[in-house]
Amino acid sequence: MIKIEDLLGIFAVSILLVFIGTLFFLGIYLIIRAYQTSEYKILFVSCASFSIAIGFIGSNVLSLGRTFEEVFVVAGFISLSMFTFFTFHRSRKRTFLVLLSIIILGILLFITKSLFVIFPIISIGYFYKILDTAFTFLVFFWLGFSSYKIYRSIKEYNVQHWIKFRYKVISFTSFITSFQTIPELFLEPSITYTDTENIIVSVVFMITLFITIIFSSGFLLAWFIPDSLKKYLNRDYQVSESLDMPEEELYNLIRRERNHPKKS
Amino acid sequence: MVQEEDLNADVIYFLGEKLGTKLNISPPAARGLLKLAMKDELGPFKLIEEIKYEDYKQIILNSLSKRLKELEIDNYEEIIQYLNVVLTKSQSLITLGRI
Repeated sequence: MIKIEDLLGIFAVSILLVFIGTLFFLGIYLIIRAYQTSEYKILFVSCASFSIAIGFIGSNVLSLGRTFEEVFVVAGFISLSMFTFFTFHRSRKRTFLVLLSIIILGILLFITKSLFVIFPIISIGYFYKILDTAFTFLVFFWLGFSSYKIYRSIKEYNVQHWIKFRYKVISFTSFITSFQTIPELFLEPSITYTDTENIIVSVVFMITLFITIIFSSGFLLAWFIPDSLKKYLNRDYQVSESLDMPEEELYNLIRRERNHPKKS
Repeated sequence: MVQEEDLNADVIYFLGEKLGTKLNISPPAARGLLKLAMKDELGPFKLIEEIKYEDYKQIILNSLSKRLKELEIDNYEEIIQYLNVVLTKSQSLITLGRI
């Protein structure tokens, strides 16, 4: 007779494998697309995917410890924030402070985790959890908010529908993921997910698992939109017109339009 | 009137809409003006999908500015400043529309 805990364990391992596989697939796919399109900023997302996947493999498969996972996951999240900065906010000085805060929080997080491993004091553990929550929230909420803000500004315009869809998926996925570590605040720092007899652990585990599934499938969908889906999303899209005429003719037309503006 | 052949022209479309509103002209005419400025800056052979954020910035600051001056637009500097901000805010369209 298979126990519920065993089933839960098999389920968790399956999800972990799919999660890691998805991240590796996304990382490789984005390297290829970066090369094809010369959009090298996307390599930040690729690095983030590889880094998070390596962190999880190191900790859960190779038993290299939670500090190993922390280093790679933090590096991955910082890489994702670099993408947010360079894609949505370049040339905007104020937003650099957000990136800087994320980097500082990431370093503090690593130091706190290392301290907790050496000195397993409960207050350090809780401090780590609070930092982790703030860090994860800031990284993903910033990405989600940046994407959503642009989506709001273009949604009334005739921009291709699949691009609007991409903004929406990135926003939705990031907003959900930004809350990922909040349920873990309800667990004592020394408790791990292997304690399946504790009902709170099981609930927190299921919520975390659910958010992880949303994160990996959402990011995969956002970046890997098949051509058939792009065509389907663009089915009502009308290509915008522009005037291609000799310079003088266009200048005369512009002068006429400015002198006799159409009433809207 | 011709249609945009390149489906990656969302940034030109978006900037054209904003420029049209500022100049009080139709968006197709504004996009035509933008395309002229692009040809000035990058030559006739550069593909739209090869144009990067920095190129768009130079197009706005150099060629478009010159053309608005030629058209004797009084507040051309203000319009250039405005378009530059629009480009900075919507720069993700270039990346997200290309991957």
